[in-house]
Parts: sequence; structure tokens; C-alpha cells
Amino acid sequence: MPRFRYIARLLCALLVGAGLFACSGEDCPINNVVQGKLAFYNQHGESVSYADSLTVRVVRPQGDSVVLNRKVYASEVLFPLSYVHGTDTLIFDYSGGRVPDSLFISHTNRPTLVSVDCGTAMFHTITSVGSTHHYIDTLVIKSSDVNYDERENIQVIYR
Amino acid sequence: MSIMMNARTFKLFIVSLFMASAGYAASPFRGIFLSTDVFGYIYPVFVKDAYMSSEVSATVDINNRFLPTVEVGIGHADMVSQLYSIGYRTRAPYYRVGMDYNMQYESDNPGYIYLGARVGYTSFDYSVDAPPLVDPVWGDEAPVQFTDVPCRAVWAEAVAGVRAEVAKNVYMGWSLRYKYPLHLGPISHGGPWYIPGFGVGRGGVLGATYTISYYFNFVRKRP
Repeated sequence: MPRFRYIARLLCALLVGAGLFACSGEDCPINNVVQGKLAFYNQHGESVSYADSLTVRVVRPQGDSVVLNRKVYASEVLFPLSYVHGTDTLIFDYSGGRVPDSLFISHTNRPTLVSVDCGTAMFHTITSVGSTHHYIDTLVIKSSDVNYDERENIQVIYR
Repeated sequence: MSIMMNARTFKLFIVSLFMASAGYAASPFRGIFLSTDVFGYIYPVFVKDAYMSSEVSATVDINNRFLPTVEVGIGHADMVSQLYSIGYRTRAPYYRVGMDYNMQYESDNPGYIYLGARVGYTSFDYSVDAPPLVDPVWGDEAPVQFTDVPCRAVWAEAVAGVRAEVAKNVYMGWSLRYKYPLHLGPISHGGPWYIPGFGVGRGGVLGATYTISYYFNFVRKRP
């Protein structure tokens, strides 16, 4: 009897642990929106905001889509990237009848399995950027990966 | 010189094994456990969309104290997730080597608690077949299908378990394992979901085994 009890106690000991194991689950990312981020800087590398209203449009064949609508004091813009096209165009409409600037973002698209419980997502890698230079001086790629992280991807340096 | 030493060590090992099988008590080799893990078969019964593994292992009993172990198994997943209708397939062998330490090596009880460590390795291909992604801005559809994506994984395991004799030379036991990835790659398309022998996850994960073993006893009991 002591032998049987000893064996039973041994085998039950880790059943408790196994029960805890069975209750563990997989955590999905809280932010599941994939967007790139660009931020505004001056010539001295200081973060700046646009004092007047700014509208940013994404060019599509079926008509432009507004991603920032008349925002005042905008210092950064979140933008989408196309799932299938290689280059996207953003148009910056400044207030006061100023000439708009255009940004051209070339990228590759990476269909990604997040997990079978959390779904799939389209991540991107920015390969090159360019723009018109009415008010924009240069563009700098800070982080080429566009995913759930919302890191600063592009620095827009104004004149 | 080192080759000669290695040859001599190997000869000593063979002689010790022979002595053990002949029943000489002086040999440190007392026997071998041959085991199979049945947890891999039980788990999918209770958990939907689960993966499965079949595993066998051999454990050498050295002085009832040190237990070097080799584990070989096949990990298998062929499922479609309920929530996102994502199909995931893989099937590959995996290998682990390591050692357990009997915490009760001086006890006469018909069972023992042990702590141990393993290093695991697998090289596998996986395939994913998911519904297309619909671009919310442009409206395009992008396919999500990857076929036979190659990947390799190396991981470490910390093991704690119990093993008890339930009939003559027949043992049952549980082990809990904390697994930590050491290498995973190459990563493409987000990387694999289920890794044969490791499980699901990218960081540390918990695993369990439930083994049934037969003990080949090398040491003859004196009358």
C-alpha cells in the first residue's frame, strides 16, 4: 500500500503542472494595423510641425483616399502601402493655395503568417523614396520595415 | 595520443557494458529505459486544431543517478484554423540529446524525481494556405500561399519529471519542459507557426511528455 501511494503521488505531482500547461494560450499583437510613419524635420534635424492645415492623399486608380484631413500642427503622418503595387504616391496639400508636394514610395510586399490563431498580415519593406521639392528638401529612410511596430520609417526634411 | 585515448575510453565503455550485462555489480551501467511518449497522441483529442508528435527515447541508467538520454520523434501538423481558415502543414523528424539527474538516487522507492536538460534540433519544411488578404485602401487581393518553406531550429530544454515503476520493469512518467529557442532560420513569410519537437511559439514555451517505459535491467539481483 505505501508503494502504491508513493507511485500515485509521484504521477499526480506533475498532473497539476500539466493542467497549468493546458491553460496557456497564445497572445496576439494588440495593434494589428500595418501603417508606415513619416515625421517632419527642419534642416537642423529638429522635429517640426506644420502650423497651417495639412491634407495628405494617397493616389489610387479609383480616386484618391485621404489619410490626413486638414490637420493643424501635424508633425507626423501614418500612411498605408498597397498590397500589390510596387510604388505608391502620397500628395501633400498645404493650405493657402500652396503648390502640393508629392512623395513616391517604392516597396516590396511580404504576405506574413502572424500565427494560425492571430491571422495573416501584409508587411512591407521600403526600398526607395523620392519627392517633388516645392517645400520638401530631402527624404531619409530611417526604418525600411513596415509592420505592426509603427516605427518612424521616413524623415521628411523641409527647407 | 588523443585518438589512442578515445579508443581506450571506448574499449572501457564496451567492457563496462559487457560487465553490466553479465551482472557484475562493479559496472556503473545498470540498465536502459526504452520509452515512448503518449502525450503527443492524447493532446489532439482534447485540443482542437492541434498538432501531433510521435516520440521514442533511450535512457542509459548510470549508477541510478545519471541518465543520458536520446529522443527521436516525428512532429506533424495538418490543420485548418477555425477562426481564420488558415491551413498549416508540416511533417519532419526531430532529435534531442541530454541528461537527467535522479534526485533520489539513494532511495529504494520504486520511482524517482529527476531534473535534466536537452538540446533539440529539427530541419523541416512547412506550407501555409490562407485566404487572400484584401487591401483596405486599394481594394486589391493578395494571395497568401507558401509551399515547402525550409527552416531549421535548435533549442534548449530544462526538464523536471517523475518516473514510477507500475509493474515489473514497466514504468510510467510525466515530465514538464521549458523550451527556449537558440536558433530559428531562415525566417521568411513571418516564420513557422508549429516547429516539430519544439511546439508553437517564438520565445520560451512549456511542453509536457507522458511516457511509458520498459527497463532492461543489466544488474542481476543476488538471491
